[in-house]
Amino acid sequence: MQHEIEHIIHTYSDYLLRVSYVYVKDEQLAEEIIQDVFLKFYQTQHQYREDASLKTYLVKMTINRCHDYLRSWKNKRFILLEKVQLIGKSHTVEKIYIEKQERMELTNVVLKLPVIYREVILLYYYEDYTTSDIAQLLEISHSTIKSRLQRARKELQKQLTAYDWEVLSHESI
Amino acid sequence: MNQFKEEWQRELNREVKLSSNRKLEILREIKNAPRKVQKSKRNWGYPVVLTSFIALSLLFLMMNIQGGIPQGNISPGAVMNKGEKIEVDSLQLLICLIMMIIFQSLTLLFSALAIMKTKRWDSNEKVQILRTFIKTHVHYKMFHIVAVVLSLLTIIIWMVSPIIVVSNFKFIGGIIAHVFIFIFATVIVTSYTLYINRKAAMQIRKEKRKRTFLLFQLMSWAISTIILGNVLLFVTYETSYEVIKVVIVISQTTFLCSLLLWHEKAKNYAKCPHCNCRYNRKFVIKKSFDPYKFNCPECAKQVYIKTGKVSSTSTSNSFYFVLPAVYFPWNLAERIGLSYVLLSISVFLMILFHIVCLSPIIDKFTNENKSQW
Repeated sequence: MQHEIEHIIHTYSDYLLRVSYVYVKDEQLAEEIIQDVFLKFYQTQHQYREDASLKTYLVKMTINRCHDYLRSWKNKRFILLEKVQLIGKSHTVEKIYIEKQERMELTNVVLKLPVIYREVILLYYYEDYTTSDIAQLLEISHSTIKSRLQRARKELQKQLTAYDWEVLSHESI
Repeated sequence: MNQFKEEWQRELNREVKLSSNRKLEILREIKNAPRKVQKSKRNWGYPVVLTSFIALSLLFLMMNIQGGIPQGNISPGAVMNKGEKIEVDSLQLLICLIMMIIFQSLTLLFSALAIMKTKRWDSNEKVQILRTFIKTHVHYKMFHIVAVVLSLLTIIIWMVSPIIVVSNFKFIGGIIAHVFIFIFATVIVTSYTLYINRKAAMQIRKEKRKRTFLLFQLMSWAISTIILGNVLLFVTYETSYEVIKVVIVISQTTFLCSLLLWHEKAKNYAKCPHCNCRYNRKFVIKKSFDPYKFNCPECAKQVYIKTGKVSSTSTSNSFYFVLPAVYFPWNLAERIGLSYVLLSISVFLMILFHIVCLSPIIDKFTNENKSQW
C-alpha cells in the first residue's frame, strides 16, 4: 500500500497541483490542498469503487476540496486582508512572485475570471474533458456548462485582445 | 490545433510544479498521519432513539403512576375539590361527544377506503370478502344516512337528558334517558337491517356467499354498537365518566391509524434492488432493525437500507392534516382530567402501528453503499 501511494503521488501530484492552483490562485495553498487530498485518499481508498479512472477520482476530490476552501471563512478573511495589504510576502518572496506572475501571462488571465468560468476553462482546455464529462464531474447540467464556457471564452477574448487567439473566436463547442 | 490550449498547457506545466522534496514531504506526512480507525457503519439511529424514547416514556409513566405530576392527572377544578365529585363542564362533554362521533365515523370511512383501494391487498381473500360487503353498503347508500341520523339523535337526546331529572335523583334521569335511547336506537337499527337493506342481504344470500352475509349482519351490529356505545356513555356520563376518557383516546388513535393506512394505499413492500423479488412484511420489519446491510435471501447479494430521500416524506405530509386530531385529546387533558398515562398508551400504540404497518411499506432498499446520515 505504501508503495502504491508513493506511485500515485509521483504520477498525479503535479497534475492535481495545477488543478487546485487554478481554483485557489495560491501555490502554497494548492500544495496544502493536494496533501489533504492524498491523505484523504490514503485513509479512505477502500471507498474507491473503480467506477471512474483514478485520475478522475482524484480530480473530483481535489475540486471538492477546493470548493470547500473557497467557501471557508479562512479564504474570505484572506481575500479581505489581501485587499487591504499584500499579506505575508517579504521583499524577496514578493519579487519571485511578481517574476512568476509575469511569466504566467495566460494563466493570470484565466485566474482573473470568476471561479465558475475558471473551472470550465480548466477542465475543457487544460484537462481535455468534453462538456458532457464536465457536466457529470461538476454535477451541473450540460447546457449550463455550455453557456458558462461560452461566457468564459468571451471574457478571455476581451482580456487577450493582443493575442487574437483563433481558437477563442471561431471554435464551437 | 488549439493554439491557446497548447500555449496554456505548456505554460502551466512549466511554471506550476511540485518539487521532489515536497513530494517526499507529502509522502512522509501521509505515512506519519494517524491511521483513521474504520468506524463500523451501523445504523445507530434505531437502537439509540428507540431505547432513549422507551426509557423516557417508562420514566414518565412511573412518575404518573406515583403521582409525580398531579396537574396532569386531574383537572384544576378537581384538584380544588379533592375528595368530592369531579365537576365537568357540559360544553366540554358535548365537544367530546361530537369529536368522538366524528373520529369514529372517519375511522369507519377511512378503514373502508383503505380496504377498497389498497393495491397490496388485492390478492388477499379476506380483504376480497370485506370489499364485497362494503360495496353492497355503498351501493345502497344507507350506512351513511343511518349513521348521521343516529349521531344527531344522540346529541339531541344527550342535551335534553338533564331536563329529565326526577327531583334530586339525577341518576334516575340518566337511566330513563338511557332506556329511551336504547329502545329508540334498537328499533332504528333493526328496521335498517331487516327492511331497508333487506334486498342487499337477500341478494348476497342468494349468491350463496354465507361469509359475506354473516359479515353484513355483523357490520350492521357494529354500527349500532358504536353509536349506542357513545349514547350510553354520555347519557350516563356521571357513572361512566372514566370510560368516556378511554373511548375518546381510542377513537382518536384508531382514526389516525386508519387515515395513515389509507394514505399509503398505493405503496407496496420493498423489493430487492438486484433481483427485484418482493419481500414480505415480516422480513422488511426484521431487516429495518438490522444495522446497515444484509444479504438478499433470493440472490444472496448485499442490500443496503436506503437513506436520505426515503418516501417517508409522504407519510409526514399526511401528519399535517391530522395534527388537530393529534392535539385534541392533549388539549382536553387538563380540562376533563384525561390521564397522561392514557395518552402515553395512545402514543405507544401509534408507534407500534408505525413499526408494524407503516415501516414495511415506507422502508426501501438499495444496492448503493451510501453513508447513513
